[in-house]
This record gives sequence, structure tokens and C-alpha cells, in this order.
Amino acid sequence: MRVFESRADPHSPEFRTNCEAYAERIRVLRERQQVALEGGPGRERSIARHLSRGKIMVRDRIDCVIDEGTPFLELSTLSGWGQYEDSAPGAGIVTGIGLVHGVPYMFIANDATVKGGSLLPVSIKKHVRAQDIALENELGVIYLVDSGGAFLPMQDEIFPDKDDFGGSFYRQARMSAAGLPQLSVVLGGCTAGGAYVPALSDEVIMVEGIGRIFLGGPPIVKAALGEVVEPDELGGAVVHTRTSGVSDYLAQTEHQAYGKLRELCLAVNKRRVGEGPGWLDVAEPEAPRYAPEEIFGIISADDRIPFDVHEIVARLVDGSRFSAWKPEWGDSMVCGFARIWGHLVGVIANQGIIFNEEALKTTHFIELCEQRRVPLLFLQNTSGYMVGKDSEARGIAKDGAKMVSAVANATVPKYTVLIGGSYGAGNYGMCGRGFNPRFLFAWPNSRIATMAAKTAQTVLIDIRLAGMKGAGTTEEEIEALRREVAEQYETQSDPYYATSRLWDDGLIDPTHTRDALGLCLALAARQDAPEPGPGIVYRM
Amino acid sequence: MRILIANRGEIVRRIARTARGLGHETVVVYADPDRDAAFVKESAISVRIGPAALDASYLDIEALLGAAHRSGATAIHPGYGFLAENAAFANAVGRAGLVWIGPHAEAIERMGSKIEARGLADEVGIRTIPGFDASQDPGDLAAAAKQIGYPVLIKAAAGGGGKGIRIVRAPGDFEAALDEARVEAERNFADAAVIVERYIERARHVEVQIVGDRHGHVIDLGTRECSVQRRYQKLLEEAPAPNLPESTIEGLRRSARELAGAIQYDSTGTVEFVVDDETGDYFFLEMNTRLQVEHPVTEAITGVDLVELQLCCAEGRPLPLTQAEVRFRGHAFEARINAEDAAAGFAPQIGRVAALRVPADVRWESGIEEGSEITPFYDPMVAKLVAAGPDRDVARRRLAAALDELILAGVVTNTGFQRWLIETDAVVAGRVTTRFLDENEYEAPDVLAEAAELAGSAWTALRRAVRSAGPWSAAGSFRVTPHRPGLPVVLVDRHGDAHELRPRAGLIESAGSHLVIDRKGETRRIPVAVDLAARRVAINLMGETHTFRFPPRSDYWAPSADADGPPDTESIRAPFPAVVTEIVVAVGDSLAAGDVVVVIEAMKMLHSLSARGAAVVDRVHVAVGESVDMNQVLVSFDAGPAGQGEGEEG
Repeated sequence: MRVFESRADPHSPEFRTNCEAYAERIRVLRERQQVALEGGPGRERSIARHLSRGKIMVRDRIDCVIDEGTPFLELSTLSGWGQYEDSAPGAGIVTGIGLVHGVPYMFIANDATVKGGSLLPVSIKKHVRAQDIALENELGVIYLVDSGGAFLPMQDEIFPDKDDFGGSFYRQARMSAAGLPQLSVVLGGCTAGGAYVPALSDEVIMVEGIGRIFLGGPPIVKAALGEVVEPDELGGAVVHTRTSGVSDYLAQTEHQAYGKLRELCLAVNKRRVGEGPGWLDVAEPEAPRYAPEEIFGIISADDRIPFDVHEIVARLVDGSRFSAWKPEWGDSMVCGFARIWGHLVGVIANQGIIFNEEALKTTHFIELCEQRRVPLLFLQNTSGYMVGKDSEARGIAKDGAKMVSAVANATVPKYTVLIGGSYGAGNYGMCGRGFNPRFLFAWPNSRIATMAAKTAQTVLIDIRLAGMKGAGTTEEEIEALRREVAEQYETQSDPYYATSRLWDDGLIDPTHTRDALGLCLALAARQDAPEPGPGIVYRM
Repeated sequence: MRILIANRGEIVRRIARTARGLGHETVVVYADPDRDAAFVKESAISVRIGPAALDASYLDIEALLGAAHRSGATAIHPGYGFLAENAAFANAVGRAGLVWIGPHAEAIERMGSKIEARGLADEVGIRTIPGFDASQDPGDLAAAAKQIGYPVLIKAAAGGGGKGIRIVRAPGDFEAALDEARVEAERNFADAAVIVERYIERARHVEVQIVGDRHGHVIDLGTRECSVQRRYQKLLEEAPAPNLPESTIEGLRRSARELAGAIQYDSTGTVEFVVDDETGDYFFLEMNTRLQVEHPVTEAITGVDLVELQLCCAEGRPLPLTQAEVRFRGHAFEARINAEDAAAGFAPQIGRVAALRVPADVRWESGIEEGSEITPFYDPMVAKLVAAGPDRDVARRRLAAALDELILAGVVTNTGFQRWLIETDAVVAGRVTTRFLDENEYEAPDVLAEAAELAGSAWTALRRAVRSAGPWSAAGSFRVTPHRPGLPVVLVDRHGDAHELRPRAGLIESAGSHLVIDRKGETRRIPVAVDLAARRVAINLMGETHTFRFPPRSDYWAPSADADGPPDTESIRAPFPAVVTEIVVAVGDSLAAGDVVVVIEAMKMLHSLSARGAAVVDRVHVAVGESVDMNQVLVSFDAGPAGQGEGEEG
């Protein structure tokens, strides 16, 4: 494959301005991630209390379990950002993928320093999403349980619905049926529903003195039966390991538990990463010829000025080598083959608006990759499908539909990164969240909404004015409406708004993208080849 | 010849090397603990001679002759130690019609007797240390002292251990010292008899290598200094002996040749002397009728192969060189590498040699290789490191450099001690006396923590270097968040102590043999041997190889078998109907997890019931022979100091 020739000039004033602007975005990202790690109102006190009990911080716990010096692909670090009066950094739960003896596992670990590890609506969403990723990527799950259970004041948003708390147990049971090992270490409370997390696991380790499992805690027992009972007497590690058998192993300390857990992981008999059956072409990895940091200089500080997506691709793929596919037709969609950490991928990247040709070209390319069993990588940066008389006359709706159908039905692993705008149906056709990419990451400069704020202003004001039907609408009223709409769209298309609600699997630094995608692709390469889907009806 | 080497370890390899080089065949013998030793595995023919006990193996003349017979050997080389200076063995070998590679038996016999050897020295006119034991009369003793010359030593005739010894420097002090010595001798040995002897303030041990043939030729190959001794065990030798007046050197060599000539000595041998470092006077000590451990230093400065000469003489051929043809060039040191912990009173060490890497440009004589087992049955010497140079200082520095590069892991040896020794002022100056190690105590440098840190760095660096290409390996500790990952590296030293540390940045050289670190702008290359599979790192710091284990987390965090579990406050109950056969515990006994409490019998099988955690026996509810029902309490335990909250809250 040819090495891409960059036309970016790192010494140009624009490049430097862009870099400075992006550096600010990264600073904000880091700052907010830091809050998720150990910030937030009153967090200092709860961390101090946690540590004073000899307990270990959640990410350090994960480090205790995963193989030394190996990656941990943390997901949705900023879930809950700006919600619940900022009281739940990271939604009180850490999810992510790491290796134990070379075998990848999904980690679902409560953060007891956030609301005592209580589960908020977004926490449940994050928990369930992690399980879905585990199921799709055939990962075992390690639960590090330290949770006060459902956050009762919001029980209506946690308890009853399809993908609420119940859905997590449903998934646990289904994953077991799928042959995925699930191991729990109980490091704190597992009350009521929480008791089922360990109880539905293959093997359970409880840490004496801190781990407790009960369907009803001492207050409920007192209320229901009038019995006064000490928590450890009711559901402590000794009781559950020696009497009830809910737990299989007793550990005196957290470290002992992690040592034991690693020992248990020696016997799961699962493929390690790098031990794939070979359906996916994997070559020796090669670093990009152009530094990933240069992405910061390429993405315009002013988001109305477009950038050449080739320049981005060149900084994500092995050796900056990219074989553009059908480059001279439908050129506002860049398709082609490349490798990421050695893994062959079909890249589909927006170079602006999607016209009929782009929709058809993309459909064709997806079919090709589906035929050849090549994973797809979508790089979203589009204001959507072309509107207008001409476009409609050419049937953009049916051409767009072909692309959407092809994406929806492609069974090869799909990965999406929001590198810029993700507007309207462009989000769908480019494998947005609704189209179940295996992983979806977003960059801090990305925007996601039905349409750009400016367009929305015009559209919504027109609709309102039409509704007001000539009544004396003053300029001030129109201006106020304009501001209101702009504000709503600005707020809601903000990437932090999106990642807080788990519309993605994490807001990441663009320079981390190549590594993150490489880790994800390696997981797919470890699995058996995905079964090809059946034929579909394309509206011609 | 087909030569049976009646020895083990290092010396077998040394002799076999020359013998094979000269076209002889060799046979080795071994006792059971040496079955897998390097010297056995390398030999085309090896014969088992017995179990570990020396009397039944390496010292068993019958067994050795039997082995020679079975293997068709035509000659026997005794090596050194064991039966090397045993005249009966030499005679037996001769009677069996085999060639004895050593001096004739009479020489062995005569030199083996201290009294006879001294008498012989007197006859030849070599001085022995003047002494007087003919009378216990104070007057006679004082007169003898005067005649011997001050200072003198008064020592208990039955003595030992430094008791009953007085050094007297002037005649006026003699009487008082004599009284003290006698009182002490009487008290310690119930015998007040004393000996008066010339006291040498600064005694050195110097020896001369001689070789004789059966044609009346005796030559000497110069001197060796062996003053560095601990409890009469030589530790560091060199050739030639430094800082001796020319007249002394000549006297020593001439005396040695004359003594050897007087007994028609016909092999390699060594005449040992005590030299007064202050006066250059020398006194005969003894003669060793064998090849010495330290022979390589002589070989290094003369270019002669002493084993070759031994074989030559044993075959009855004349010496291939004359005294005039002996040329000396440069200087050589030999450090004996013993499996001893010099920092712990030279306690003998055993274990498996986990890694062995010897620097180039030195002579390495050893009985070990990687994987060798050091057993407790034999001498602690596992190897000799010999360094030579154009002059004494170069040779000494080369030995130091070699000790700094050597990796000998898995067993503690005295290399760190040797490294310290050769930098001491006395050794540097070449003025060591035989009391040197009594007067200078070795203090091991406190470098364990530093060694651990460097070992951790080496471990981490090598693991990083051997990562596979995939992202899950090559991306290292990738994180999307600012969380700084990193567990401390945990390693366990030879004492079993765990160190938790964060390694500094380092690189492992492509050969994997050195850790390269930058320290204050200076790059250091530290010899290491990293074994990822065995999870072990050996690192040479100040001459000593420190060996560390890197236990997997599942090991070092997991509860050990005897760890304190939570106290067992339950009772021991019968798991099924049974008959009590034994009550192992008594009221008040403190138990650990796993301790058997009661043995019961059911279905004609005995079952032991054990405590699940630490417990104190509160009551025994049943008696032996009693039939018990399922769930019946047999023994109850103390509720423990916590009291489990019963009662008080009720």
C-alpha cells in the first residue's frame, strides 16, 4: 500500500493556531477525566474514608488484577458528567478491558468513593453496555463489587425497564450460557439485587471484613422480622464461604483476593489475544509515518473550515499507508483499505456532505468488505445527506437507504469514531450508536445532533413563526427564540453531553485513537470469523 | 594410559583436560550425590563407587580399585584432598599393577609425618620454628626463651582456641606471663604444661612448587603466597610471593629443591614455609606431596602445565625442562569461590546454580555449570578464578574486574568477600599475614536494597524488550485516562524477604547480559542474568551475585498454607455418625488452621477433623470410644478475645 503524502505544513500559522486550540480541548478533557478519577464535590472525604479502611482505589484494583505493563481500555470515563448535580463522576463505576494471563476480560468495577458505589441510571447503562461489549467480543467478565446497590431516590429509572438493572442479570445468565467466564470479587456491599452479581458468577471470592452479600441488609431484616443482626453475621465473607457457599473463596485482604483471582483465571481455558483462528489478515504492526499529534494541527480551530480526512487517516493507520478505493468517484466519501496495529480494515471516512454517489460508493464498499470479511472503520465528519431539489430528484432518500441498510446488515466488526460533526441521517449511515458498532469513540471536537445549531435555528424559528400565524411576533421574541434554540443545540451537541449519556464508549484524545482501535481489532481477531449475513433487499 | 581420576568436581575436569589433550583416556568415579555433576556427565566412562558417605566412596580404596578394574584403567590420579596423600592407597595402586600418578609412597609417608618431616628438614639444614618443650622448669623455660630470642610465645601444650597463650616481648615479662599461661592452661585443659616458641609478629605463608622425576631431577617453579587464610583454609593465592628479599626467595627455592632431592621426590609437590615478613627469615612448615589447589597461579607465570609434568614423571620419563629453562613472566592471582555466606560467618550454602556466566580472559576452574546442584556432602569450593597480568597490580585489577562481571546465581558464594578482600590495603600492598582475617572482619556492603532495585529494573526492562508485536502487548500500559498505572514490582531475595519497588528506567543490552542505566549523567553497565521463564534475576553488585525471584501475584498475594485465617470460633462437630478414636487436643491448646482436633471412625475408615482457623480449645465434650451422632459437638473452641458480641448487647 502506498504511503500517503501529507500536504499539511506543521510550520504554517494555521497549523499552529489549530494546535493551540486543540491543546485547550485536550486540557479540558484531561481535567474532566481527572475529576472522574478522583474529583467531584465531597469526593476527597469519601476517598480518605475508603483508603482509611485499607481499601484500594478502583483503578488500582484493576491494576492489581491485569497483567503488568499491559493496556487497560477504559470505557466511558466521563459517563454522568454534568448530570446528578455533578455528584457522580464516572457514574460510580469503571468499565474497561484488560488482560489476565493474556486473556482479555471486561472489568465491571464499582467505585465506592462515588455515592458509596450506588448505581444511578447511567451507572446501570454503563454496566449493561459493558456486558453487551463482552458478549459481542466474547470476553469473560470480572466483577469487582463494592456497591451500595441501586440509588433508591431514582429507582424508577433504574429498576423496571428493559435494559435496567434486571437486564444486567439477564445478560449475566445469558453470557454464562454463551460460555463466557464470569468471576466476582466481593469488596464491599452486595445488597438486594446486587447480591445476584456474585451469585450469578462462576466463582466468587469474598474479602473478609469488607465484603458482604445479603438480599436484605440488617435494616430490612429488622423491619421485616424484628431480628437485630450484625452485618458480618448476616452476610460476611466467613458466613458465605463456610456456611452458605454463596462464596467459594475467602481472602483476608484485597491483595490476597486479586492473587487468588489471577490463580482462578489460569483455569478458564480461553484464547489469549493474538491467538486468533486467522480469519482476519494481521501483519506486523508499523507506526504511522506521520505523528498522530499532528492531528491537532489538521483539525480546524474554526469548525466551519473543513479539513482533509486523508490527513487524519494517514495519522491513524500503519505506516500512513492507505489504498484509496474508487477515489475518483464520489470523492466526498473516502473509502479504502489500511491496517491498524497490523489488522486489515476498510476505512469509510467523510470528506463532507453525502451525495448520491457517495451513498452508492459507500454501499458498494461495505458490500465488498462484508464479502471479504474485512472489519469496517467509520470516521464520522458529516453534516449529513445532501438536501435540495436536485438531490431529492435524484433519489437521495433511496440511495441513503441503501447505505443505511448495508451498514445495518454488515456482520463484520464495525468501529466508529466521531472525528467531527455527526449530523442527521449521516450519523446513521456512518454507523452511529443505533447501528451497533462494536465500539464507538468520540473526539473532543466532535458534535452530535440532528442538525447543526445554525440550521436548527432557522428551521425551528420558521416552524414557530408558522405556528404563530402572523400574530405580532416582535424581533425581540424571534431573537430570544433564536438564542434559546442555539443554546439547546450547543448544549446537546456538546461531546461531553453525549459521552455523559453513554452515546459513545468514551471521549478520547485523538492521539489515543490508533491504540484504542488496535486493541479493539485484536479482540475481534481473537474470535472466530463472524457469520456472513443473509442477502438484503436494496431499493434501486 | 587410561587414567582413573579418584576425585570429584573441579579437579577431575582439570586433570581430564590435560590428560585427554595428551591422548590419554580418562575414567571418572562418582558417589551418588554427584551422579548428575558436570564432571560425570562430561566423561565418556564413569563408574559409581558408592553412596554419599566418603568412607564408602571417594575414600574407599577397595571401591576405587574395583572401579579401576572394571573400567580397565591402567593408572590412577588421586587429584588433591581425599586419598592424594595416602601412602596406603599409593601402595595399593602399585600392588594392583596400576600406575600411580604421584610421588612414590615412601615420600608420601615420610612427609605425612610432621615429626619426620621436621627431622628431615633439620637434616637438610632447613630451619623450623625454634621451640622448647623439653622441661617445665621455669628456669629452663626462661633460658630457652632467651636462646630462641624474643619475642616468644608461651602456649599450652594441650592448647587450642587461643587459651593459655601469652606473647612475651622482653625477658623481664617472662615470669609473670608464664604464670598466667600456666593458670589458664590448667583451668582450660587441666594440664599446666607449656611450650615456648619463637613468636613471629608478621608471619606469612609462602610455598614453593617443586617437580621431580625418577631420573634424579628436581626443579622448582617459584614461590606462591598463600597468607590469606581463614581457619587454615587458603582463600586467595598469588604467584610469585610479593615483597620478599631476593635472598629469601633464593633460600626458599633452594631449600625446597634440597628437601625434595633428599627424598628422591618424583612428582609435583609443594614445600610450605612460614616467612617472617619483618626479617625475611623463613622456617619449614610442611611438604604437600600432591598437586595443590592453587597450582594454576604457578602455571600462569611459568607457562608450564603441572598436570602434564605429573603424567610425564608418572610414566617414568625425564622432566622435559631444566631449572635453567624455567622462566617467570608476570603475576597471577587465584580466588577460591566457595559456597559460603561470608556475611554470615562463612556458613556453608547449598542450592542449585541458576545462572553461571564467566567473563572472558580469566582462567575458570570449576566443577559446576548452570543447573548444578551444590550438595552439603563435600568441600564448599565450587570454582577458582585465576587472573594473570604483566605485573601484580594488573593481575589484581583483572581479578577485580572479573569478579565484577561474574554471574553465579542461585547459591550464595564468597565472591563479594573476595572482591572486598583484593581491595584491602594489605592485599593491595602485598603485606598480608596469616592473621589478616582474624584481625580484619569482613562486613558485607549493605547493597541488598540497591541490588533489588536494579534487579527490578532489569526484570521490567527485559519484559518490555521481549513484548510481542500485538497492541495488547506492545502498547504497554496504555490508558485513555490520566490514571497512572503501575504496580510495584515485587521481588523476593534469598532470605525470603519481599521487596516492593518501582523500578527506574533501564535498558537491557541486546545480548541480555547487562542492564544499562543512567545515573547522574553517567552510564552504568551492570551484569545481569534474567530468566523470564523461571521468573528470576541475578545481578552482580560489588562482586556478589544477588539472586531474586519474582513471584507471580497469585503466589505472593495468595494466602500461604500456614497463614492466619480468621479464627475458628465454631465447634468441631461430627460430620456423620461415628465412633471417636482419638482426641488429639486438650483444653487450653492453641491451634492453627489445619491442626487435627479429633479422629473419628465410620464405615471402617478413620477421619481427621481439623481446625479451620486459629482456635483455642475451650471444652472437649466426648471421650475416646464414644459413639457420636451427626452434628454432635465434639470439641468447642474459645469465642476468642473479640467475644463475638454475645451477652453484652442482649
